Amino acid sequence: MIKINGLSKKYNGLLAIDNLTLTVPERSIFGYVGPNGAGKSTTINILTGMILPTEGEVKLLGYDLRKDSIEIKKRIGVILEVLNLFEGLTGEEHLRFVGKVYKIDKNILEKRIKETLDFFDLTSAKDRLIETYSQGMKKKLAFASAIIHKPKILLMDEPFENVDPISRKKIKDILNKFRNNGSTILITSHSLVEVEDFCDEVAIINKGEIVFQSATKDIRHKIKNEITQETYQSLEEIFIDLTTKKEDKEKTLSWL
Amino acid sequence: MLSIFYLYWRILYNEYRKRFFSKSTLFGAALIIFLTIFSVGFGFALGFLVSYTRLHPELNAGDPFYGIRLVFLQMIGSVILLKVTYNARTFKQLNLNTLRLFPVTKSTIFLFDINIGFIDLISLYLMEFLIGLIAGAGGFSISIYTAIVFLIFCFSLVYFVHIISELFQSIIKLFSYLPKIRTTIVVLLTLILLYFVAIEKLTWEIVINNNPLSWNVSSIFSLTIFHQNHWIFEIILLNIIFSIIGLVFIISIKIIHANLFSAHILKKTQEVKKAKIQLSRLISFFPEKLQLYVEKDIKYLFRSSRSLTAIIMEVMLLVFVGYMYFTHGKYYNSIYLPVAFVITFPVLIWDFFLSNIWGLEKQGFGFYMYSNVNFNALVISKNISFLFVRLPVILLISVVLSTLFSFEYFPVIILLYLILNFTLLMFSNIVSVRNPYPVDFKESSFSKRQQRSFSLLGFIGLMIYLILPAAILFILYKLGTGLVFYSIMSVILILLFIFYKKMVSYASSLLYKQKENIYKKLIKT
Repeated sequence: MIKINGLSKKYNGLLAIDNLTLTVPERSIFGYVGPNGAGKSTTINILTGMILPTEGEVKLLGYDLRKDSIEIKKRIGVILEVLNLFEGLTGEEHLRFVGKVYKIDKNILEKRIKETLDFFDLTSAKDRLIETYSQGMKKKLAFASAIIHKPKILLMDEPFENVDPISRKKIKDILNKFRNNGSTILITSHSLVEVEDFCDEVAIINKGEIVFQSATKDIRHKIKNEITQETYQSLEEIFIDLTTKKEDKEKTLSWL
Repeated sequence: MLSIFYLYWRILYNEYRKRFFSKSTLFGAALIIFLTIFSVGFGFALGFLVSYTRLHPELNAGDPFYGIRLVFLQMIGSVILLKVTYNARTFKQLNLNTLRLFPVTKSTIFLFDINIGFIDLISLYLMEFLIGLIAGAGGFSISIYTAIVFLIFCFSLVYFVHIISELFQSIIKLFSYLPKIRTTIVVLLTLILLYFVAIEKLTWEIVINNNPLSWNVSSIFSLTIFHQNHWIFEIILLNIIFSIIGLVFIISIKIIHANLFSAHILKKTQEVKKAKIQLSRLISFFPEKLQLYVEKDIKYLFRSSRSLTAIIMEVMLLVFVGYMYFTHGKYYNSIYLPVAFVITFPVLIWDFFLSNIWGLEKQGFGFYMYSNVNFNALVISKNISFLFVRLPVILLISVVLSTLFSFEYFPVIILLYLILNFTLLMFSNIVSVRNPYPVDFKESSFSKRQQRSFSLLGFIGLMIYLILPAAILFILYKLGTGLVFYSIMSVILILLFIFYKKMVSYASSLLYKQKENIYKKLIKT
């Protein structure tokens, strides 16, 4: 479970997150969406302990982020937008390093590495340096590294980007399995169709504030536009309606 | 701890394997052999200088080894300066952001990072190797026991130098996030320095004689000259203690920096100061087709830390030449010429190296790729900007040197510099175009380079660059200044100019081909 209460983050006077309160329930896949610069990455960076919040309280699995960041890190798996890989290692060495950091028993670790590489079709490339991998291969390896220690929380910034449809399906299956085993998964994505289709719950952040939160199954039927009183047809409609100013919606290129 | 060790070890192993089991192995080995022979010879030459000073105490009355100590300190200073500015590491990719995601404490990360940086091969192990050899050469000339003690001593000194460099580097990085504090501290330090110089009568000699590095240097002399090694163990111990204290400081600063970094993550990192932009606008007397490129290159010069180091080193050289003239000019023919050589040599090498890594800037690469770019103008503008940086210092050094010797040599020095620079640019145009690297800015161009191979052309260029002035000086020594000498120099210069023009057009066509090749590679990926 992730609990964020009154979280704010300022960068040189610029308010990136403003008094954000959010609860991500246990055993769920939570979609966290918003336009560019809305504060998604800042939230993820705070949750991973990369940056410190200016104000507010953040708790993951009951641990306070400020006091127990090492304990939290032991229990989370992360994929960032800029992939967190050591490119001077081979794929196999990278997984071994991650396993060693999380103190996985040697025999279990070797078994998991073999199985994971095989699952993601990386066995033939296991001895190659990561710097020679394609973007898709890197993404799969980053995903494998994030899950190899069976974390209780997965924080994933754009996990499906640059991945082929087969691997995308595999990643989704794995995430479902994690959720069913009791893990909490937070996903950011620009693909609203995918979020709506795959996540249990979704929150939209705009200019550092949560402007919408709902279970995805309720979106089409229950949520109505406040002015027109019409039911939204998709998450995309809600997203555009809540994050775009009226005048911006009407903007066009006059010379075209 | 063990997992971080595993990480570092594997990256180091892969890096070595990649470099040493490649096509460039032979050239790499040749380079190391050359440097080994060179540094051993260098060590003995310095030993000879020490003996010479000992036999002629009147040269430096009161402090017989002042000059030679200065040489050593300048060398160590150059190493520190290079280590601080030359921010390339095998482990640069182990940036804080990646490791911080794992449950590892910051102090563990930094402890490993600093210590593994000591054996990092990319940047300066050759410099460390050099110091070791110099000391080793001195030590081996006495006895095996002394040599072993000397090597241990050297190791501790090099580690200490490494720690000092790391300390400076971490302070600079910390300050870059704290502009207000940086200004305050610089002002405070200047005031403190002024206080000591003006009121406490602090002299250069006092500074030279009273610092841990000087104690190290003095112990080299007490061992090599007087065969006394009774206090070298204390120096070793002192180096270790200072290193540990330094280590604690660095880790603390890096932790503060890491926390601050998280607070300033959105800060614009590529700010160009207005003054610098205005400076480039002042230079508007080039032909129109060149102007655009020259302006851009000059801006980049000031943004690149490496080009700034060239300026710093040349200023250092200028300060030293000036110092030598105004204070101890009377000894120039016995001590200061070798000293000037020792200082000039790394400056020349650095300039050469630097000019060769000035390739295409990453940010402008898309521009080259898709726009109608004049490649000839692009290459010439790089050369102009390079000369622009060097010109004021070159002129000043020429004036000071000709005042020191005789104004008869002023045209010789100017011609020599022109010859040197034409040689340098001729080769660097080709070498840098062959391997278009990004200009460094905040990220290291080295870490972006996938396969950095030894360049035979660059090596030949370096040799010609070093041998040519030596040959000219030899001719000068034999013939003196006169019609014959100037004729020879003029012919060399004209030939170089013709070659330079040809090389520029060759470099332009090569650059065009490179652009095509990179474009094809990009399409494939």
